[in-house]
Amino acid sequence: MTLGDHLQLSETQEYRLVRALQVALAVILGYGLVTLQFELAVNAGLPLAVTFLPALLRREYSYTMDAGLVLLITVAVFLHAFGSLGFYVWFSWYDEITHTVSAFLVAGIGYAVLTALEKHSSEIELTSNLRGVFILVFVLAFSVIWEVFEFGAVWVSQVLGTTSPVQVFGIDDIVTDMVFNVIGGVLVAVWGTGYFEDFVPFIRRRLR
Amino acid sequence: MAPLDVLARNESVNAGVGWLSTGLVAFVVVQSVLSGALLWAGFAAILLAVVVLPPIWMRDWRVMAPWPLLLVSAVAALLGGYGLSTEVAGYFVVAGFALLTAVEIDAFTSVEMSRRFAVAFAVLSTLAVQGLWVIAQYYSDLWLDTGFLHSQRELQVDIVAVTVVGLVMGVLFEWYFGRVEHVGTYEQLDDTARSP
Repeated sequence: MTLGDHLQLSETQEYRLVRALQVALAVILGYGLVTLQFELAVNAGLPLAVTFLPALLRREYSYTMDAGLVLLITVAVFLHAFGSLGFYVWFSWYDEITHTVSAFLVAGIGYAVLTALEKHSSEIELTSNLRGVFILVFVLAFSVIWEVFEFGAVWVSQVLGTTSPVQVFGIDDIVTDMVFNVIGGVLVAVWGTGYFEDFVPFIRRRLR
Repeated sequence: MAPLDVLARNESVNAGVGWLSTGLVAFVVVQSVLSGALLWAGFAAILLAVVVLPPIWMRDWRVMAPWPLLLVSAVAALLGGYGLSTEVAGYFVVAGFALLTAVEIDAFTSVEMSRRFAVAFAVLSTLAVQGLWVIAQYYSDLWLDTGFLHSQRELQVDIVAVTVVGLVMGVLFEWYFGRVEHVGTYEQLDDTARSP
C-alpha cells in the first residue's frame, strides 16, 4: 500500500494540498523578503525549492512520484518553514514534531537507497533485522551530520557577519532533536517501509 | 557459511600482530578496572569480545581480522585507558569497533556486504553510536546526576570530531581493503557490480 492510498485522499486532493502549501511557502518567502528577514526568506525559499523536486524528477527522468510521498515531502519542509515564523521559539514541542516528520522521510529515503543497492548489487544480501538496524543507524548518523551542518552554518554566518538561518538552542535542543529523529526512524523501521517502495526502482535506475 | 572475506586465515604474521593487539586490549580492561575507570573498562571489554570472536568461533587462532584494524583499535583503547585525549581515543575505538563488526557480520552470518557498503555502513554506525552516546550522556546527567555534558560548544565540537574520525577511518580502510592485497581480502569484487 502506498502512502497515497493510506491517507485515504484522492490524488487530486493530495496535489491540491501540495499546491496550497507551496502557495503558503511563497507567501512566507515574500514576507521574509519584504520585511528584510534574511533567515526567514532562506527558511521558506529552500523548502519551496524542495517542493519542486518531484516535478523536476518527472520532467528530467519521467519519474512520477507517488502523490502521497510528494505530499509528505511538502508537509515536512512546510512545517519547518512555518516554524521559522516563530513557532520553534514559542513552543518547545514544535521542534519535536518537525524532527519526527523529517526523520520519517529521511529514514524512508535511507530504506529506499538500501533496498535499491541490495537489488542492484549481487554482493549485498541483508536480513530483515539488519535492514531495521540500518534504518536506525541511517537516521542517527543523519542527525549527527545535521548537527555538524548546523555547527558549520552558525560558524560561517559568524565569519560573514550575518544571522544564521539555523540556530542551536543548547544541549537539550540537540538531544531532543536526536531523540525525535530516532522516533521517526523507528516508525519507518516498524511499519513505514512499504510507503517508500515507490522510490526504489527510481534510485536503482540511477545506480551504475 | 559465507567465505571469510577479509578475515585473514593461515597467516601467522597477521595473527601474531592481531593477538598482540588483543593482549593490549585485555591489558586495558584489567588496568581500567583496577584504576576504577569502569566505563572505559566496559568499552574495552566490548572491543575485546569483538576482536576474539573470529578465532573462538572458527576454533583457529590464526583467523583474525586484518592487523591494522586491530592495532589502531587497540592503541586507541590503550591511549584512552591512560586518559590521553580520551574523547578522541573513544571515537577511534568506536570506529574500529564498527568496522570490525561489519567485517564479522559479513563473515559469520548469511548477510553479505560489498567492501564499499561495509565501510559505509561502519562509518554511519560510528556516527550513530555517537548519537546514542550523546542521548545516553544527557539522560544520565539528568537522572543520575552525572556530569558528562558541559556546554553546547563542547558537545558540538565532539560531534564534529567524531564525524571527522569516522570519515578518515572509513576512507583509510576502504583504501586499505581495496589496494593492499591483504590475506583473505575480498576477491569477488568486480568493477561492473560496484555501485557509485
